[in-house]
Order: sequence, then C-alpha cells, then structure tokens
Amino acid sequence: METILKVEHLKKYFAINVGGPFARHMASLKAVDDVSFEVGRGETLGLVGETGCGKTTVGRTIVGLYAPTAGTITYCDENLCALSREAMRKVRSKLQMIFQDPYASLNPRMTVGNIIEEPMDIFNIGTMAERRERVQELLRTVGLNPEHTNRFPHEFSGGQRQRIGIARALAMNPEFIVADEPISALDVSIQAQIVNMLEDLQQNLGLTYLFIAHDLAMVKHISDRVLVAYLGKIVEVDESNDIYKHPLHPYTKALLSAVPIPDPRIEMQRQRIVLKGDLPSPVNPPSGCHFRTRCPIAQPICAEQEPELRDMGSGHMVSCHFAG
Amino acid sequence: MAAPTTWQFKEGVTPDAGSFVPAPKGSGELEQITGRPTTYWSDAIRRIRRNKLAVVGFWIIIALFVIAIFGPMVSPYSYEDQNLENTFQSPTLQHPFGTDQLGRDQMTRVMYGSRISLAVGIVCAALNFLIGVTYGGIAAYFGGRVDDIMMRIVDILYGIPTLIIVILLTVLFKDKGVSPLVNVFIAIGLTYWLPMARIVRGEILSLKEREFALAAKTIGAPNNRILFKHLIPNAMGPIIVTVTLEIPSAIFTEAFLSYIGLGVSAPVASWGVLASDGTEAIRSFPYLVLFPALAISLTMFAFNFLGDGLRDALDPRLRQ
Amino acid sequence: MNENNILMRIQDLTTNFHTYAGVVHAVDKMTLTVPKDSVVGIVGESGSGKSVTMMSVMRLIPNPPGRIEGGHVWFDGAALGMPDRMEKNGPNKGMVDLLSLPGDAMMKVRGRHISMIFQDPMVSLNPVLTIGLQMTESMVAHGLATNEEAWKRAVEMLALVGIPNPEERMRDYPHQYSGGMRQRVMIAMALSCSPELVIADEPTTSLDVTVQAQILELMKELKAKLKSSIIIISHDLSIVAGIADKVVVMYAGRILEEADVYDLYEKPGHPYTMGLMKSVPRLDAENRERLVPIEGSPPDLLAPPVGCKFAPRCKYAMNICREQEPPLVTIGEGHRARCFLHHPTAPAVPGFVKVG
Repeated sequence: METILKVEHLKKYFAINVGGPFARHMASLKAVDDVSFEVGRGETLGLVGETGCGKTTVGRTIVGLYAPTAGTITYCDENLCALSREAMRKVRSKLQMIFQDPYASLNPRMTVGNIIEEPMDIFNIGTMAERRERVQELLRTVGLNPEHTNRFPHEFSGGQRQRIGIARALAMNPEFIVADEPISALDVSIQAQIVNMLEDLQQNLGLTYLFIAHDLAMVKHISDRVLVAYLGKIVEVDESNDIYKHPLHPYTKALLSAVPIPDPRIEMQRQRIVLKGDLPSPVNPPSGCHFRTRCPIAQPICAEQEPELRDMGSGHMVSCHFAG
Repeated sequence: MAAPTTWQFKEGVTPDAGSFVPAPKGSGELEQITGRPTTYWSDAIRRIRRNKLAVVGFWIIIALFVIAIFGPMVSPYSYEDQNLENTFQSPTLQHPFGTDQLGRDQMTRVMYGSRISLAVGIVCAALNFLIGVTYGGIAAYFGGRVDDIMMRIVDILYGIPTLIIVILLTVLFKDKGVSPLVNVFIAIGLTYWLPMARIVRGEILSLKEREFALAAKTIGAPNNRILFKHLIPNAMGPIIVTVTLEIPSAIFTEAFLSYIGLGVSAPVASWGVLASDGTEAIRSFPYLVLFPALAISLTMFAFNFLGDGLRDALDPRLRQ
Repeated sequence: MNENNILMRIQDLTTNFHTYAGVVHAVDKMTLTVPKDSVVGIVGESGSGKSVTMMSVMRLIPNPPGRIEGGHVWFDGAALGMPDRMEKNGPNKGMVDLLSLPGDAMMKVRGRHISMIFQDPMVSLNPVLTIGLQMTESMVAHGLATNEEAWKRAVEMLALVGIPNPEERMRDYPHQYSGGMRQRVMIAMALSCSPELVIADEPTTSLDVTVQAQILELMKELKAKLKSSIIIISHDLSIVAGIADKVVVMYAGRILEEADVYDLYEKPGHPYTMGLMKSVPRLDAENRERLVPIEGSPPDLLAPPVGCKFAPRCKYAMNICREQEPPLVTIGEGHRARCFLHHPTAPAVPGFVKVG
C-alpha cells in the first residue's frame, strides 16, 4: 500500500505556567513525545488512548493547527514543515479535519450554505452558481436536505450538525481526513449512522482516515490498524482484528479489559485488570517507560531505559521490555 | 399496580386487519429540522422587551433623535435669534424653556444642543468601535508578545486620567484651524476606545479556541478572515453593549468640555455651553441651567438603561 | 408484589417544562418499581427523560420552567421514619408519597434517605472547601453525628471507596484529586448517611475508560457489601450490563422496555432495544460487520408524534402504531414492553421474540 502520510519523531511541547501563586515558573507539557507512524492510502488508522495521551494534539499538528516542536510530517512525499505558506495552503485543501463538538464546530452566525461553501470561497473556486450547486450536492452526499442552505446551525440536531461539518470537510475534495472524536458527542443511536456514512464516503471517494477516539470498540470496528497511545507515546500498533485477541503491551491489555461489553453474562463474571494509581502529569512524565508507574509487571529496568517500538512480526509493534 | 396485560385502545380506534400492516414511511420525514424559529437576536429582542427601563430608555433615545432632527425645523425661532426686549423670561407657553440674557428661545437652543450631543455620541461610538474592536481583536488573535505589548500600552493609557488627555488634546488642536467640534471628536475618539479594546480582547481570546475558529483555520482561511468574519461577529453582543454604554460618557465629556470653554462655544448651542451660560445667572434665573442639565441627565439615563438592558438580553448564559 | 420488598414505586410521574416555545413533555406517566437491595439500570439517550425522572424524584426540578404535573413517588415509610405520612390502606400501604411532602420534609430526605451521584465530579465538589468538610457536612446537617463522629465515619467511607491514606486526604482540596478519585469521593459522600437509595446519574460518563472500570468495579463491590438500592442512569447499555439486576429502557419520556438484565440482552422485546444493540460495536465482535443504525433522530418533545413515540424511526412500524401509543404489557416474568408487535394479531417479525 502506498504511504500517503508519514510522521517521524513528532514532538509537540506546550509551554505552560505551573506552580502556585508564589512559585510560578514555566514548564513544558510534553503532549506528544516522539511519535512515528505511517498511514497508507485508503486505509483507516485508528488512534486510541485516554486523556493526556496526545492523540488530539497529533491530529491537530498533522492538520497544521499546531507547529511541531520537532519531527517531520511528510504528506505524499512533501515535507509539510518545509513548505512555503502558499504551497502549504494548497496542501491544506487535501488534508481536512472533522471536529468533535457538533455544537461548537460550526459558526453560529453563518448559514449552513455559507459554512460549507467557505473553503471554495477562500480558494476562489467556481462561480456563485457552481458553488451553490456543489453545496447542494454535498448536503445530499451527507444525507441532508439540500433546501436547507439558508438555515442556521442551531436549527439542526447534533447528528445533523456533524454531517454539516463533514460536508464542509469534503468541499475541497480532500484525500486525507483527520477525524478527531467525530462521534463522541452524539447519541448512541446516531453514532452508527455517522460511522456508516464515513465508511461509505471512504469507499466512494477514496479517502484515508486518521480516526482518533477514546471508544476502543468503535475504533476497532472502523479501523484497519490501531495505534494505542499513552502519555504522549505510542505503546502498541496492530491490526484491529488482531489487537483484541493478542494484545502485547500491559496498557493495551488493561485498556481492553476495561471496556464494558453489552452482555451481562460476560460482564458479571469478568475479572478486570484494574490499573493502580493515576495518570502521571505530562509535564513531568516518569523516566524510562512512561507507563511503569501503573504497570503490573514493571521492573527496575523500566525506570532506567525507555523501551523502543519493536516490530514483533507482520507489523505488530510494541514498546515494552517484556512484551512477546 | 401491575401493568396491564390487556390491550386497551383509545375511543375511536378499533384495530382491524389493516391496523397491523406495516405503515409506509414518509420520505424525508427522518431528516426534519426542529425549525425553532428563534435566532440569537430575536431571542434577545424578546428579552429586552420585558425590561421596562430599557424600553423606556429606547424610546427616549428615539424621541431625542426625532427632536434633534425635526425640532429646530419646527420651532419658530432659531438658536441665535435675539430679542433684547424679551430677556430672562421665565418659562411660558411661548417660550416653554424661557429665554436667556439675549432673549434667545431656550427650547430651540436646547433642541439644537441635542444635535451636537447626538453627533458626538454617534461619531465617538463609531471611532470607539473601529479603533477598539480592531485593536483588541488583533491583540487577542495574535496573542503572545503582540498581545502583551499591545495591552501594556492600553494599561499605561488607562492610568492617565482620560479628562486630562482630552483637555490636553483640545488645547493642542485649539488654534490650529480645526473646528472646535471636530476637536472634541478627535479628543474623545482617541481616548475612549480603551474599555472596548479590553472587552473585545477578552471575548476574542476565548472565542479563538472554539472549534469553529479552528475549523476555519483548517479549511485555509487567512488570519484576517478568521478575525473579522468569524471571531468578531460572534463577539457582537458585548461590543454593542459597550458602545451603548460609552455614548453617555462621550456626551457628558463634550458637555463638560464646552462648559469649561474648551469645546464648542457661543453662539453654537451645545448643552454644555448652555449650562455654562446659565450658571452665571443661577441664583435668579435657575431655569437657564435647569433645562440643559435635565437634557444631559435624561439622555445619559436613557443610554445607560438601554445598555444595561442590552447587556442582560445578550448574555448567552441567560438564553432560553 | 409484596410491599415489604419494594423500596420505591414511581407511579404515573409526569413532568413538563413550560418554555416560551411551548410545553416540553419531558416525562410522561412513568411507572417504575425499585425493589429493596437491588440495582436498577435506566438506559436512554438524550431527551429520553431519564435524568428528569430522577430529578423529579428528588424534587430538584427548577420551577419555573419545570413542573411535576402529576403522579406519585411512593417511598418506604418505615425507612423514612415518617409514620404519620404513610398511606393507611391500599396497594401503597406503608409508603409515603414524596411528591406530597412539604419542602423542609423533603430536605430531610435528600442526602439522608436518597442521595445522588452526579455526572461530572469536576464541578460537583466545592473547590474552596476541604474534602473532609464536604464529607462531614451531610452527616452533621442530618443530625446523624457530631463533628468528630462524622469525621471518623468519613475516613471509613474514604477507605471503603479505595482512597489511600484517607486520614490525610481529608484535609485536601478537590483540585488535588484526580477525576477518578473525585468520583470516589462523590460516592463516599453519597453513602455517608447510609441512604436506602443511591441514584447515580451517568457516574462514569466523564471519566476515562480505565478509570471507569475502577469505578464500576467499586460499585459492584459496594453493591455486594451494602444494603442500599442503587439506580444507575446511563446512555451506555454496556455499563449497566455488569451491575444491574433490572434494566429499564426509556425513550421520549416513557419506558419502552423493562426486564431482568439477562432477559433484556438475550431476548429484547422492543425494536428500540434491539436497534440499540445492533448499532453499537462490540469489542469482542469477530469481524467488522457493518453496524445497523436506527434511522432518524429522537423526537421533538415540544411536539411529540401521535401514537408510539418511536414509530417514526421503527423498521416494523404498523398503521396502528401511528394512531395510538401501545400500553406497557407484560411479556414475560418481570419483562414488560411497549410495542404492538406483541399483540396477537401482529405479524411475526424476524429476530423478534413475540409473546402474547
């Protein structure tokens, strides 16, 4: 499979103020701490993790909302960080994003038609009539009534607003879409609608997705491959079919065991791996392996040496001294 | 009370063979819009209507505009017609506000004064809006050093009493061939934008992290588009409130300047000039000060009430 | 049903919100029985009325615009210690209607006999008071203990919910706790007065998955150890599967299905329940089969559809479903469903277990 996006040793640190009112000083929040992966054309790569794992930051850095602190992002063999502003804008139209909150991701003062049309307006594409037609076509594509172009976002439900956001992302015929928790804020019965629509769009339009979420079951369902992230690092990479059956990293195992399953016979009997302790602060992550403070099999070496992401065969990668 | 295991049907509904046949689905039924007819503004208008003081303030301002435009046209006197036989008349039917030391009809002069005050209000509101919104918006949008520097300048300017700056500016431009009224415009316009800048900065700072602003960036919008088309329109609520509340300050400042002789002067009849002239005769002919002062107070009350009402009406947290 | 076994019986509860846009029918003639020493799960999406029902029970509905228009909430009178307010005869003998209590009497019930755990622990705790103060407040206010006794009991409760070093943690402030720990503190606070009923409204929704697992395991332990009944409200079918004895599915302000937890998941008796299960991906699914969503959106509660509220989205809707709302009928032991598909005349539908 042709690689469409390559992320190498990506780091994104944020400078923040820490300390109480009398001891303020600057510290570095290591949201993304040396992350590398590749995405194949037409693939859906899932990125899953809990709070503070850096998944949203990865997505936003890829799309250009943040500038990386270090590392490179290569899209179709072009290094995004080295591009001029003009060239970057052109690439920008191919790399789009779908946001989490359907209530905040649409400008409340703009009509739906203007929202979807805006990318074309910015790049000066098409005449007014052509744009109008394209907007209607896009509304049809996402399953909405094309006559509603003059309505405002607050007149639509959450699921419908998310569809509008997707239509906006599709306006410039993108190739790669970063979906940052696109369904977390929706009702359960609506989530499946949107997920199915995303799958159909992928097939019909040849899209590639980076699907970021914390819902492991949904990520496993929609993705071809899954990246598991913890505290700014990738701890495991595997095919989604395989990761449930053969998780190798202790965090992945704990994560999988934590996800509830809608079956009382399983749930009532279940012995969960319950992680002890709390998530360490990303300002001051543990030395060596970031996970060692909560890991059930941590050894002294884990504090001294950070494990590398090793290939255990057929693309299944783990960063743990004791995996496999 | 156990749930019924029997099937009870409403009157008029008798199930027949056709009842249990699958119903045809209406097309398009599924993607209905809730069609709630309100927008942010209609909701706000509804709320402000309930605020009696604000409504009163609104109508006083409307009346003010009407009087300012049409009053002097309708009056049989002009603001400078002198009638030396009719000086210092108490209020009568012919001269409802009395006459001054030169026999000029006070009511006409007060009505003329309203033109000046409204002009000051509008021009200063416009300058306030343009300068303050742009300044605050740019500071907030770019953040970091830019924000620090720009807001430090504001902080410094804040520390200097506004009136002193205004007085200095008017003295500076006084004899440079600039009409006194324009002088006042410049002085007030250059100093009154500070609160607006701060307020706008606060709003934009919080708005720029909202997802629709991030979305605008990802679709390739350049900075000025994001700021002026996305962020500032969403901050319109507080902006309108601030403008409405700044107007009475500007009007009062003009009156004050004219009162102390730095603004417009005779024979032009600003309320400040009238009050100033009237002060000399305050012991014997108090009505000469009374009416201009009342006019100033009433106007300021009206704008303040309206502004307060707007603030409550436009507060998104109180949205129903 | 033996009245000795019932802790609370909600009967025909109706709550509306009177907004300028019209009347929102949030809860419509809701009837639910909560046995003693059991866990009831209420599953529903937004607009289903699940939270409003519990807020009505606690009488915490803001008035205006909300109003409890009708119904009763019968609660075990002996537990409340209000013998003079108990019903003397009839099916609700020995129970007290919470909706008929005056305000101050209801205040004595809240926290002491019925306590609530809210969704977001970040905002449910007062940031300027220490945890110790907040925990002892309830016990002292209800006259159950002196300050010292309350302090001791609070330390015990913190230990019970798994907070390490509880003695020292009592003096900390909420911001020094993590999200999971704060939720544990909320649970400890809710249990501090040994209430007969604990209502947990989406207790794990705002938590990370691994933290959610911790809290769910904790609640399972507490269920085994304590004598309180628990009502768990969630939008997630999977969460109640592991802890509830009985599950109730709500939609548009009414119950669509009520069953023993095993029956609900194995033999769902309502198209909505079935639809929910098919539209949610399972972690242990073998292949990536396409999800089957429920088409359409939840109904507008300002103008709900005539007839069955789920009919516009139901694959199996029949003509009768558009004309009249089906009653809640018993289709099995402890299993009720609100659907005309269970009517004898209704056609058989693949995958649907029909009764009656």
